[in-house]
Amino acid sequence: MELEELRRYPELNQEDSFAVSYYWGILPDYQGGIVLNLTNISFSYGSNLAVDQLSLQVNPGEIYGLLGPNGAGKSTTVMLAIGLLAPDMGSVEINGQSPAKPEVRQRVGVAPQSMSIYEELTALGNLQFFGKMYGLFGKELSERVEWALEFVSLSDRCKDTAASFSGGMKRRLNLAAALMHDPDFLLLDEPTAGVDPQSRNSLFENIEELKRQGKTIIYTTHYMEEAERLCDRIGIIDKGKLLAQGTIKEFVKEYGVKDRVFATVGGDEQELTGENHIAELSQLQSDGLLEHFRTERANLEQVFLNLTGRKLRD
Amino acid sequence: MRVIIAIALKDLKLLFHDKSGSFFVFGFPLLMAVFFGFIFAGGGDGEVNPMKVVVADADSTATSIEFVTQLTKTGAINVFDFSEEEAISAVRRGKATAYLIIPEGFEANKMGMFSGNPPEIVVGIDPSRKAEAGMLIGMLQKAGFAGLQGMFGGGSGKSMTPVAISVQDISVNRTGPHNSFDVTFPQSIVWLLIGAATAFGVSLVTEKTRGTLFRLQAAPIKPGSIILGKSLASFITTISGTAVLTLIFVNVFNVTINSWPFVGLAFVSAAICTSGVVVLISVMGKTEASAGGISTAVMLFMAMTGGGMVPLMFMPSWMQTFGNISFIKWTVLAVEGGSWRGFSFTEMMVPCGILIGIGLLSGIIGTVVFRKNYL
Repeated sequence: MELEELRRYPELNQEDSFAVSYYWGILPDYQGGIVLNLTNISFSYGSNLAVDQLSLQVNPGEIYGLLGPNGAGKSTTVMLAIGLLAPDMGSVEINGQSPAKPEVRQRVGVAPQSMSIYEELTALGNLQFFGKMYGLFGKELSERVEWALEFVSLSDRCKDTAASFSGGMKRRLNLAAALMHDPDFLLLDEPTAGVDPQSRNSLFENIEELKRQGKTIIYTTHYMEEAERLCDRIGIIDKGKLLAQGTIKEFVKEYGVKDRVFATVGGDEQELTGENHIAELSQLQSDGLLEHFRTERANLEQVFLNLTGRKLRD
Repeated sequence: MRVIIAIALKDLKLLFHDKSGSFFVFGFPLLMAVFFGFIFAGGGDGEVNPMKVVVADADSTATSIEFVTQLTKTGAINVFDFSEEEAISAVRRGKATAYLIIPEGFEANKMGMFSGNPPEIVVGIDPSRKAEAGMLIGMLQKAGFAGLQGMFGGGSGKSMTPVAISVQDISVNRTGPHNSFDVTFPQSIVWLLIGAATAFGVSLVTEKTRGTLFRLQAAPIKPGSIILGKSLASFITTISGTAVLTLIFVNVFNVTINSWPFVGLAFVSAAICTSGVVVLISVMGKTEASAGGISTAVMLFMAMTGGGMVPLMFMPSWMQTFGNISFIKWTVLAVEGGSWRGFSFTEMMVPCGILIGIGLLSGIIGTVVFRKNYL
């Protein structure tokens, strides 16, 4: 009911929606307004340092994008965040408590990077089973299963085994399983990996809807355009270190990334390096030299390249 | 508890979804037992390693001692001294292949062999080892002739009978197997246990590989619930499988069930044991291939050492003793004890207690390892 009320105010900006959420009691009373607080955590697999003195905070209702190449430490950070790994150093808190506590886990949903579903079971069977793992039984379970299937548009295929699903459908089922217990805090580990554009778009819409519902989300990906579309704030991680974090605007401003302009003169394309691109283009035009020009918008990949000096790895 | 049941039911659904997996749990044991039941029904004997025979020498004279000495010299028999009561009990409980009672007056009657009234000995053979009865009687006669040669310094006595052997059929006094399926029925239970342990032994690693273990670990459930759920699935499979096999063997192959409560106790004990062993096996492998290999190796080793594949009588004595570590041996004994051996409650407690003990110990060790490695 409260959610329906909240949806009447689409014009609210993000900060206002937090306030309304608190007012209606949709979001729990997070201590200090932070859902997840990782403080100076380190973790090693044997002699391999996977996470190196990493600190980050995730605020209620925001989507925090954790970006980095494969092997950067994103999944290890997720496992540390939900208490499946204990840090060698530092502390992890969700709402001021250890993530290992059952009452904390009850409010956390996880969609792992791998398809963590039983392919032999139907979509219905999978969701029923995972719902039971979070204490849902009887009518409550049936209602949540029905909601989750509808949410990810799998109602018409609910009696088919997951093995018969396409990659995109499995991804949607993977997400639905994480939502069965209506968690406040979601960790989505590369939720669109290996899916077609249609399914990816459907997943984006799902995640945007979850954001509108006031869920707090950590979203790991190595797709820049996904982070730009979905995330309120972004952290770039490599070799277990958090290299930078902030909003996309902050990144562009802080790391000196600008829109780039290329002009074709005498058949050669060259980047305009002056301060005033408009003036440069006008000059070339008036001189009759400008054959063609194009622009490249500043994006996260440029930020990443500026930070690390190399391209993202697959 | 509802979470544990949910995990168990899910594992059972996954098992039944795998047609070949469920065949090896339920169909294969039945086929094996029926096949060997028909084979054994034809009888037969063959070369054997020393047979374990318990001797109760009530005569305790030079002649009786010499007779036993000659018996051991055949190399085909390992002899152990027991009282008459202990000897009968040992065979009935499957601890020895046969008993040999040398009654008082054995020496006094030794000259009777020339008058057609030779000294008598009483032999009782484990009903499930009838194939060895003829061989044992032959060796007894040989030992008797050897004693005769000792008395007269040589010569053969082929026209005489040195000892009168009275074969005491244990089944006369005790319930015994009345057909070969009585003997192969426990073997089918063994194959069922092996199938269940192999199927569920890899399930934890399978969960890890497919990523579903990650979800279970992230859920607000106790770590022990995951293990207990898998253990319960194995228990339900074993109990339901034994029930189905029992119904088939009793109704189709006329298998003897002396005590339904004791057979039930044997099945529950074996199921507890298997469920515990499943937990231990499941935490030993890192990958599905290694878990499957470990599972198969452990179960084959248990079957080999416990007489599940090659009868213990064909193994050296140290191996027969070593077989005590195998829960397969105790499963067979427990099932036979309840079906045709006519065990008392106290006698049933030995194999059943050992099975439950192995199950609990394996389960505890497996749970500790699981908590250490997975959490």
